[in-house]
Amino acid sequence: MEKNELIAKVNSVLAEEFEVEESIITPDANIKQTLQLDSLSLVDMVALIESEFGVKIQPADLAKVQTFEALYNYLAERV
Amino acid sequence: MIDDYFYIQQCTPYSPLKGIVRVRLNPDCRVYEGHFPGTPVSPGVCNIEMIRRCAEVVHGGELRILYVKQCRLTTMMSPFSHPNVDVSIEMQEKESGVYRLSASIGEGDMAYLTLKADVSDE
Amino acid sequence: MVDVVWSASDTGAETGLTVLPDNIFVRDGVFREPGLIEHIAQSAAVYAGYGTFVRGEKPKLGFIGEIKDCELLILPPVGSELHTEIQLITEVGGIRLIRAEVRVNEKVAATCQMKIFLKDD
Repeated sequence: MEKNELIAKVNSVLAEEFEVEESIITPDANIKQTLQLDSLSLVDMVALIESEFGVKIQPADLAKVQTFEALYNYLAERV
Repeated sequence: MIDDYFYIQQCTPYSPLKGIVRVRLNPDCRVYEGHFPGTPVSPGVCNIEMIRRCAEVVHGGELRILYVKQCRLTTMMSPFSHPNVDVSIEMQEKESGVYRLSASIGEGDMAYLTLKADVSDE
Repeated sequence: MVDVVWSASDTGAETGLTVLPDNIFVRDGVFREPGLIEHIAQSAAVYAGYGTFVRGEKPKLGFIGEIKDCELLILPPVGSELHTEIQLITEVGGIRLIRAEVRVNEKVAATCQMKIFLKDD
């Protein structure tokens, strides 16, 4: 998958699941704040990423994946 | 079906689709013998059933739960920690006889459980 | 709300329940919505308990944090045999996300996702 294709897919699946406008998802934005995730919905995000991209974000890595940019890079290295 | 899980203290219906029901949880209900021995915790499913019955009172007819879109159990409740709670009911008709129910159990601005479900006239 | 465990593993479990007339969630001869959800929750508890059992640990108290996307298609009559599959989807920060499917006579009666907390002593 091309990187910009991956970015577009990440943005669209997250926007749909968490019912936000895709336009508020920017590379520098904080994922939890932008999508208003708490500990329960964070589980949904991990499950969604796993089912859509086949990549399980490891618990130890979760703390490092703060921004959308970090998430794109994390997935790009593994998809 | 357990009929003594709660008692209605007061019902304030604003319309057949909206209302608030003040209830008292019964500490002597037998569900607490098993849930859990020595540590009474109001079972989430009993709270969902309580919402359904309160919605029936507001609505004025029997309701069947078809689909739970989301139910969040944010605060552990028991008749000892939360003897009196408010059940807030709001329904929107989606199609004939089917409603989207948005409900919560709480006190004041605090919600202990929130529910979004589809229910139908039975 | 579970009377038989058909199988249990690291990734899931299969359980069963025969709906008896004196079940507290039976009304007018039918197993009602909260009964189906409680059966799923307790099947998930069986799955969680299996993990602690094989590791030789004490069972932990488990609580439902969230019920999601739960279709209650059939309310089974008294005497029905429920056959339920629990599958672990993922686990994040001590919260398990599981998917459940309840069948009665090979027909899907309910499907559900649940998030469960296990309380450490």
